[in-house]
Amino acid sequence: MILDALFLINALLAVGFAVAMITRKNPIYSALCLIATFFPLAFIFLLLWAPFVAMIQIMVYAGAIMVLFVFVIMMINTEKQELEAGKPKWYRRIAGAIAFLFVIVGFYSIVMGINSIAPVDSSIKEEFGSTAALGHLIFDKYLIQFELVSVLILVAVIGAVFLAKKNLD
Amino acid sequence: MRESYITILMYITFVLVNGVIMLALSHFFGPRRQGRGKFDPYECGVPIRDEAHKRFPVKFYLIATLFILFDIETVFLIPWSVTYKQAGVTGFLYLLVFLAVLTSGFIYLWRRGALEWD
Amino acid sequence: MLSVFGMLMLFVSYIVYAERRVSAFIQDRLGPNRVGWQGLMQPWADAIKLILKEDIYPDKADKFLFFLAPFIAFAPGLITFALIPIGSLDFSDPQAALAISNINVGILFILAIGSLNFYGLAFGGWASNNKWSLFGGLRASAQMISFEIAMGFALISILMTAESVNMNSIVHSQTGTLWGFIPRWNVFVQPLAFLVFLIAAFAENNRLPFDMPEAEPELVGGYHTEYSSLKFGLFFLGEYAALITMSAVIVTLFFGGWTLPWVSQETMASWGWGPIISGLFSFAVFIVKWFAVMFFYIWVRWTLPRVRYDQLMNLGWKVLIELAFLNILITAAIGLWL
Repeated sequence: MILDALFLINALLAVGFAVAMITRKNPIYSALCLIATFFPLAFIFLLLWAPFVAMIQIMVYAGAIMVLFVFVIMMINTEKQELEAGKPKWYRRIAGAIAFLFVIVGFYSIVMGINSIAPVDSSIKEEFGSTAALGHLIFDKYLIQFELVSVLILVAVIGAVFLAKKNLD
Repeated sequence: MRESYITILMYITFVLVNGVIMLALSHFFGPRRQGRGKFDPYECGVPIRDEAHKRFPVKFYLIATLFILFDIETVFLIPWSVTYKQAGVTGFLYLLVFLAVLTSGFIYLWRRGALEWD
Repeated sequence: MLSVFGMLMLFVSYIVYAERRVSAFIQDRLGPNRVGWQGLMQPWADAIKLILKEDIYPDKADKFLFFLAPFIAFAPGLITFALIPIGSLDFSDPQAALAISNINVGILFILAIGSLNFYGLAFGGWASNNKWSLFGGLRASAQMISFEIAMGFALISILMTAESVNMNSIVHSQTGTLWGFIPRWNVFVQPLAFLVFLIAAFAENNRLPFDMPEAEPELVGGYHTEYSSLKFGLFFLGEYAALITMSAVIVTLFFGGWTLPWVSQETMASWGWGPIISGLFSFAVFIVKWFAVMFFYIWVRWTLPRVRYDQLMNLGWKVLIELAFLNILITAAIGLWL
């Protein structure tokens, strides 16, 4: 019961911050709302017996990825007039329609799938979401995915350096 | 274990409330006086020259990007570090493959001069 | 919980005093000695002064962020302290720690919340609408994130020796001796990791020799140039709270936490002390180590000159990360084949 209540509060908070994020005019406030979104999300992971993922959620998303966002927003120095978006162009309308479609599909699948969400099983052992359990999984079941991540990061490193260096030279 | 999370939540709330109280204190007890030029940004006493928010070198952006990537690398190393004995030599070799790919990226960005800060 | 918070706040205010007195001693001055006996009431006088100062919002400052930034800067240092085992209530039970909270992913929580410090500095610098603040904020944040990687890598070799991310298990992995005469503290087991972690910790806390973000000759006051009254106070508190917590983390990770050197856990358990005496005794041990590390922090500040920014970045990216990386491989090799 109390778990349900906690989940509901955090889910509402997360959705609230997410909505606030897309409705802010000033990009830095959008970034702030996005950062705020990650905390209820991390809490939901905790409720799902996944403390490691919860901490990583904050460490990587709030502590690293948003750092880049904030840097970029602080650096590009958007002028007031640039912020006030002009009339929606035709491709913006199409993008909006596609996004709306996604929202509908998302809602549909949530409503349809709501029965299949199992209640939190108290028989789950404490080791279930622990760091060690993840370590075993990575080197056993998800080894190939793990190795592929390195390639993904490599591509990102090269891309970042390439883009930045083009601007520097 | 669950109680630990509850106590820490309570503690966080406590710290935050304390912060609010302190800000409120100075808000209510501090004087409020108007003055010419008092609210101007500090500029060592001379009139303000151009705006504060300027464009900044792309370096900072690059550092932030690299930080994300290495942070993710750290995150993958943590589960391995607590189970490396069970993962054994084979696990270590798998990890070496992972690290070798990333190290090649590191060497690349070093050679391209992405780490030079001049 | 309240008592721990109270103690922390007391320590934070008195470490400022301690720093002023020690620095005065090192520079052959007197330091604050007027308020109360030996100036011991100085922190209270400072606090009252800050409360009575005007709360200034500069023109064109982003009001909300300007308000929020000191708040973000102040909280992480105090929050992360909740995970530090400052003592033990029962020497025979490894998990019976004297700490506000004992969660399984303790050190990860410290890393995660600690990384939020960035926003206090970045937002503070940006919202002030002052170029010095912005420069200071940018430098501070770039420095923080650069050294966080070296710190994380150094931490991984510690996690490997402890084979756990739980703070208590990390403390317990450091009991006993190495070859019979050196305490099994990580500072001796992992000297390279210690060196990297220590340097990264100094840089994370923006302490000299790495206090570029507030380099007075260049940047006035850095990110908090425009701040007054307790908003400035919160930045200040946050900085010193981070220092205090970082010293406690260093003690826990590298100096065996609350354990006694050369005395095994079994011996301590055989004394059969109750929870109160055990708690007080182990806390006393912790405090001795803790104060030593804090003193070291202050000492270094008045001993080393400030380094240049490019030197700092080179150190972080080209030296410390490689060293920590190498250390991980060495630790793995030793752990697996020896």
